[in-house]
Amino acid sequence: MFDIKNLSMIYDMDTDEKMFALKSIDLALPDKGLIGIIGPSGSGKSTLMYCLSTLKKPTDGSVCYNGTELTKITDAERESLRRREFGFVFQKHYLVPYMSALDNVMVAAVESDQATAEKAKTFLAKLGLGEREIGKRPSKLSGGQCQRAAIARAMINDPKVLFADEPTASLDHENAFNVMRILKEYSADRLVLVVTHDRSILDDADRIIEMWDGEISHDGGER
Amino acid sequence: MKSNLSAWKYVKNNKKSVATMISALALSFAVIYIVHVLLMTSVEGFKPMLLEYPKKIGFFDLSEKTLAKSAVKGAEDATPQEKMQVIYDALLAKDGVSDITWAQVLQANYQAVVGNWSEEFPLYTTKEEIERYLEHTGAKLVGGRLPEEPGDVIISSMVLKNAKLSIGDWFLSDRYGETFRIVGEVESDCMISAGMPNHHYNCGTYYIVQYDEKNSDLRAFFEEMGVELGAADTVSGLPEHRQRFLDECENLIGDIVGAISAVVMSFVALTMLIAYVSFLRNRVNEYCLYASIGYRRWEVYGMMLREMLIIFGIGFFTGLVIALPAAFLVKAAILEPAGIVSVVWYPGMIARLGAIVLLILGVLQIPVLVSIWRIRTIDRLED
Repeated sequence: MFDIKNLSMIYDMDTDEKMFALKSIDLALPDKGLIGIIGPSGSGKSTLMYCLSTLKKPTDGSVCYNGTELTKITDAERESLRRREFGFVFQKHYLVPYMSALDNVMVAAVESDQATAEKAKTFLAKLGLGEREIGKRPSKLSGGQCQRAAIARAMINDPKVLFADEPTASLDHENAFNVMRILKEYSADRLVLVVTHDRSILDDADRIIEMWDGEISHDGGER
Repeated sequence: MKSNLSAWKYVKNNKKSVATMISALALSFAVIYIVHVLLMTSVEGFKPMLLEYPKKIGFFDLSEKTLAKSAVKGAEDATPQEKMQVIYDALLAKDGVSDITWAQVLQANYQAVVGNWSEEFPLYTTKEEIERYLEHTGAKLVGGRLPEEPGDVIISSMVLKNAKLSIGDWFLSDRYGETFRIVGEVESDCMISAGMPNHHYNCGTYYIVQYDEKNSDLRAFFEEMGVELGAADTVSGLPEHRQRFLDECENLIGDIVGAISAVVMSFVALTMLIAYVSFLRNRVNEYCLYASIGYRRWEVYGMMLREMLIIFGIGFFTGLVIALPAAFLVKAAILEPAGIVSVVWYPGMIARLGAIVLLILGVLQIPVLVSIWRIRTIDRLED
C-alpha cells in the first residue's frame, strides 16, 4: 500500500544547524494489519506517520500510496484523500466540545444520511458507548470514552488506512488495552498504523518498526 | 463530497454565548429604531401644519409702499387703497378661491419630542365665517360649540392634546393670558383651529384666503398682477418651500440618528469584534481538527460565515420584533396621549439597520479570515 523511498524531513531548513526528523527512510507497508511504530520521544515516529498521512510534506524522498505519489499531489487532492481514505486518532481526542459524541463522529462523515448516523451509533456501541453516552458532550464523558468516540470518528468513512498517534497516551491500562483490541480487530481488512512509545500495547501488532534518531533502527517484519 | 460542518450545531449547543450576541445586536437595533421614531415626531407632527394647511388657507398683507410703487394690472395709476381693491377682486374672481377675509390671526403651537412649530389661525368676527372656514378645510366640530363671543376659540384635537388643554381652559394662557377660552374641539387633517378676536391680543391682521391647491401660489398671482413684493410684505409660504424646510428637518434628524447609530454600532462592532476574536481562539483546535480530517479551508470558512449570518440574522429580526411593538407601545402609551403625531413603520430605517448589519459582518470578516489563514493541521499543534 505504501512504498516509501529515501524519505527525509528536515526542520529548521533555513538555519545552519539542520535538524533531521527523518533520515532517508525506506519502507514498504502492506494493505492490512496492525503495524506499530515505536521509539522514544523525538525519534521521528510521529513525523513519519504525518508524512504518510499527508499532514506533513517531507523535505525529500517519495511516498507512494497505491501508485499515487503523495508528495506531488495538490492540496485539494491531499484533503480529499484524508477525508475519504484515511482515518485519524490523535494523542488527544480533539472532540469538538459543544457537540455530542454522536455529532463528533458524524462531523467527519462523508455522508450525513440516516444510514451513516446508524453506522456511527453502531461503531460507538461496539466501542462501548451506550445510548446514554452518545448524546453526551465530551465534558460529560471519561477520558477513555472520549478516546473511543475519537476512534469511532476515525472509522466512520471506512478508511483504507487508520493512523493512530499515541492513541492510548491519555488512558489507563485497562482502557489502553481495550482500545488496542479494537484497533487490532479493525486491522483485519485494512492498515492500522499505531505510533507509540509504549511497547506493552503492541503485543498483538503484526509488525513493529522501531525508530531512533530519525532512522529505522529495527523493522520486525511480518509476525 | 458533502460537508457535515453545520452552523446550527454551534448555535444550538452554545445558546448562552449566542443569545448574548443576539441580544446585544437586537437591543442596539431596537434602541436606534425607537430613537428614530421619537425624533421623527418632529417631521410627522409638522407635516399637517406645514404641508396640508397651506394647500387650503393662505395669508397675505401688502404694505402701502409696495402698492404705491407697483403697476397693478388694470389700476396702474390708482391709489394704494384702490390697487388693493383691484387685487382683492381679481383674487376672489379666481375659480378656486372661495373667500378672502381681512382678519386677525393667532398662533397655535405644536411641540414634538424635539422642536416645535407655530402656525397662524384666523380669528373671524362672525360665526358664519367660521362655519365657511370649517367647511372649506374639511374640519368637523367634535366637541363643545362654535365660537359665538369675542375670545372664543375652537382648537384641533391634536393641538389640544399636545398642549394638555381641554374645552373650558384658557388657550395658551402662558402666552396670551386669560384672553382666549376654548369652547370647542375640531377634528382636522391639517390641525386647523379658529376663533373670534377679543380686542386684547392678536398676532397681526391679514387677508385670509380660502383657496384650492391649484390656486395656492399667491406669489405667482401677485407677480401676474404686477405687484412687486418687498421685505415689508407678508405672503404665506408655498407648500414647495415648506416641503423643502421639512426635508431639511428630515435630513437633520437623519444626520442625528446617523450619528447616534454610528456611536452605538461602533461600540457594538467593537464588542462583537472582541467577542469574535476570543470565540475564534477558543475554537482553534476545532478548526485544526477539520483541516486535519480533510475539510478545506473554504468549507470551514463557509461554516463560520453561516454561523455569523444566523447570529446576525436572528439579531436583526429579533431587533425588529422588539423595536416595532416597543415603538407601537411608545406611540400608544406616551406619544398619542401627549398629542404627538408619530409613525412607527419606517422601511428606510430598517434598510439602514440592515446595511449596518452587513457593515459589521464585513468588519468581522477580518478576524475570521485571519483565523482561517492560521488554521493548521493537528500535527502542527502537537509539534
